[in-house]
Amino acid sequence: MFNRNNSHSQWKALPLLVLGVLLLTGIAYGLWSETLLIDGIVHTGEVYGKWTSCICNDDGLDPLPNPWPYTYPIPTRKDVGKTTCTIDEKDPRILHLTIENGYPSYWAIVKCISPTPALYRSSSAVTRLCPRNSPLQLQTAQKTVKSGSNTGIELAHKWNRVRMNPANRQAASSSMWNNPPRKISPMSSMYMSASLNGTNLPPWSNVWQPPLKINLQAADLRHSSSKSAAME
Amino acid sequence: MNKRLPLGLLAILLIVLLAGVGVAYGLWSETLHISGWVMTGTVDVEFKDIKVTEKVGTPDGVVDEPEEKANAANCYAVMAQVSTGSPETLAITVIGAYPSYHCYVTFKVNSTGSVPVHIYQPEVVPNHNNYDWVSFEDCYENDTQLHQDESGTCTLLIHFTNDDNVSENTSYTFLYQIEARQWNEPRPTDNTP
Repeated sequence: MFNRNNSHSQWKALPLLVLGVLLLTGIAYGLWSETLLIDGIVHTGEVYGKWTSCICNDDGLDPLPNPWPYTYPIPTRKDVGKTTCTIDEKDPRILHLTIENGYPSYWAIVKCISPTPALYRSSSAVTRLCPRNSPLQLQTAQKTVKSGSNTGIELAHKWNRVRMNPANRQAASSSMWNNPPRKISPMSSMYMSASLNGTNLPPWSNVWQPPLKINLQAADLRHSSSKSAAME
Repeated sequence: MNKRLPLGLLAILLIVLLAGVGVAYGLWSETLHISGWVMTGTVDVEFKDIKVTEKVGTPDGVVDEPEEKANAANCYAVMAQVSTGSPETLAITVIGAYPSYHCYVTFKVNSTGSVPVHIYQPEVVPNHNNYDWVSFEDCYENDTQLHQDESGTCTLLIHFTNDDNVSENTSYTFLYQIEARQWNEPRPTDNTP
């Protein structure tokens, strides 16, 4: 009997419940509102650099240490060592630098030119640009070269986007960025700062020509059959 | 025992009733009408005064985008409406974005309806991307009340750094919504009327 009464009371409450829900729904729908949308799409650009020219100053006769560090007279220059550089055909970001018949104290200077060290490519345009706070850094590398062989060395340098550390930023800010922009050539349209072995190269240049000095140091080869070729 | 009313009495009773009806129908009367005409108001907001500003970060701070870098990255903001009745949309497109590039899109939310509204700051539409490098600056406060032809100003900023892990040659999308409610209907979460 009790359950039946309880059931009856539930049935009686149901219409009230429905009424209440409808009332709430009515209030909700009774609100007038409008929504605006902000629809955004961001296509990022691309940093791209490549070597376009490589010039070696090996004119035949090998250079001598300057100043001459030894006590005996300066010898006549000879054409022994040979340095060549080529740009990789498949990946122009790679520079092949080869020293043939190298020997202690032999060195050569190679100028690598990349007129477009940084390109920001967008879907609509390709523009030369290198923001000043996104300097490019040439990776330094060392390669072991066996003495007495003609083994070439291959240094692969790739453009890497790096973050300027606070020390560099401060140095750059005080010594470089305060300089007014100047155009080197009609191609000049970029602010540029590069770092090679910790040395910031001048900005505002449209061509980065870091001299890569290859020096086989005599002292270390004296007691060893192998030696590292260091970049300076 | 069954008692029946006399036939005569019934006849008299019928006459009395008919007379009563006649009196009722004979009553003079007049009817007044209330004629109503309700014109509802509108809750309507729109984007207005959209302005795009491009800047770049340098060691000296954020400066205007140099003229020779203008085409490296571009930012566009246009009004769009997919179809009639769909929400009005501010479509922003950035092409060629790179770290330190800043795109500011300043806009106004303008009330064009007759009913005052309360507007709320942009919020990410549920189930859409929420990037830290997309932010809003100098934006009107939540619950800002706008009467007709009044507006609230807000600026959207797109700017990322290397720390944001944004990739090259990639597309990122986002979707924000701005809600405007009639002035006396606060959000359910609000306690203030």
